[in-house]
Formats: sequence, structure tokens, C-alpha cells
Amino acid sequence: MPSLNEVKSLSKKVFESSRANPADFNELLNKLLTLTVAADGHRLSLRRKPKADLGLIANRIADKPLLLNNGRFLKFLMTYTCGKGTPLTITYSCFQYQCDEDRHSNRFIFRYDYNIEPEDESHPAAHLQINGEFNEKNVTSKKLEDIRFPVVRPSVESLILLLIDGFGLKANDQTGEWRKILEYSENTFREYQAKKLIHLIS
Amino acid sequence: MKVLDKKDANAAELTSDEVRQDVIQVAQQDYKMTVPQFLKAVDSGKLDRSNYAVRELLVWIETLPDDDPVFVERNGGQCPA
Repeated sequence: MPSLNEVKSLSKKVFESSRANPADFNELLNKLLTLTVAADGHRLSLRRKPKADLGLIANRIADKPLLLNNGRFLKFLMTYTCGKGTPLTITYSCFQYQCDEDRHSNRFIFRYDYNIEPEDESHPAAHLQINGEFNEKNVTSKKLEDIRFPVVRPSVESLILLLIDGFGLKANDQTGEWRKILEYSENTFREYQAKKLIHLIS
Repeated sequence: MKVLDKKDANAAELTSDEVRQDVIQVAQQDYKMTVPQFLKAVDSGKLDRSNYAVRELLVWIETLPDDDPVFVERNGGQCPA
């Protein structure tokens, strides 16, 4: 199991350098997932476009989504840009918690989606969809699953916390240190986001 | 799922060959198309690029090199590089 010190040093490497290395970022995400909700041996992959400053971190598209330790699945896809002199920036992300292994599952439980340049202007750039039903009648003509609730783009750490605290997954780390590790990693990420914003404004 | 062996798990970074194989397989399985046909269908609006599954395949294809064979047919047989 990754320790707090390992994650600390990796977080520093990823978020405190002027140009974060995507391979380190991928390794950090895999450590967080290994520590908490991923099934044994199941990891995300990194793909970098040759001679370009973009890439993605995801479960392989031709494979099943990431297997979790409760037998359910997490579809995970995150694209980034990382140019010379510019910080690593997430351009698109999709996190979908689902019951089956189908790539196009109708049995999803929730889905967070973020697109820095939304394809459809009726979709908020970051939104949440929940697969369920309204308790009240005549609320809207739409199904609940088709409503996109605007949100702030969630961090991977907050997604993991939701799976554990909201959906009852058990963390792989039995020591309880995982919560401190997620907190540390998320705080480092938030500081990085704030610094990036200042970099963009100034 | 292709279970990752220790070597693959440690490698973690996908090559262009691996990505090309994956996108060819998914385009065929999900759309009964080749990758160039899929790209043409998106360009012409026959496939909706705001659809999750379409977008997912597109972002993977976009990580292939600009001169990759899958792009040649889309560019009228000309290699863009």
C-alpha cells in the first residue's frame, strides 16, 4: 500500500513543479485508487500523443472499465494538455460509476462529466447525472438521468470519498491512513489550481 | 478485461500500436466501421460528437500521431504530415 510520505512526495512532484509530468500524475492517480477502491491489480493507463503536448489517462477503451473492489466498475477518462511553460490542464473528464462492465452501460449509477469546451451549449461544462427516478410526479417531462446538474468539476479524491462515504465501498488500506492521504492530495491539487488561475490572470 | 500482468501494470503507458489496435476494434464492434469511416461519419454529422461513446472514441483516436495511417483516408488519401 502506498504510504502518506510516498503520496506526499509524488503530489509535490506533480503539483509543485512548474511543468507537471503526466507520467507522475498517472502514477499519483493509480496510487490513490490502489489505496482505496480499485480491485487488486487494476490500474489506469497513460497515453501521450507523440510530438504533442496532450494525452489522456484512462482505462483502455477496448477493455472493460476499471474494476472496483466491490465488483462494480468505474469508467475513467481524463484528457490533458501540458505545453511548454504552461501548467498541466485537464481538458475533459468523465467518471462513471456503473453496475456492469458494458462500455455503453445503461446501468450507470452516476456520471460526472467535464468538458472545457462543451460540444452542446445546453450542457453545463461540468455536470452530474444520476440514474434514478423522481419521487414526485409532474416535476419535469425529462427523465432524471437526462438532467445535467451543474457542478464544480470534482477532484479524483472527492470522487473516491463519494464512493466510500456515499456508496459504501471499503478502502483497501485497512490502517485508516487513506483518508489523510486523500485530504493531503486534494489540498495540494486545490492549491495548484489556485496558482494556475493566478498564472492565467497575471 | 485483459488482466494486466506485472510487466504491463508497471509499464502503464500505451504505445501508438496498442491504441491503434484498440480504436480499430472499438470502431468495428460498436459502429461496424473502420476508423476512417468513423471519422468521416463524425465530420459529416452522421454521428453526434456530443454523444459520450462517440466522444470517447474520438479522444482516443486524437492521441495517435498526426501521420498515423488511420488519418490518411480522412484526408483524401493524403498523409497530413
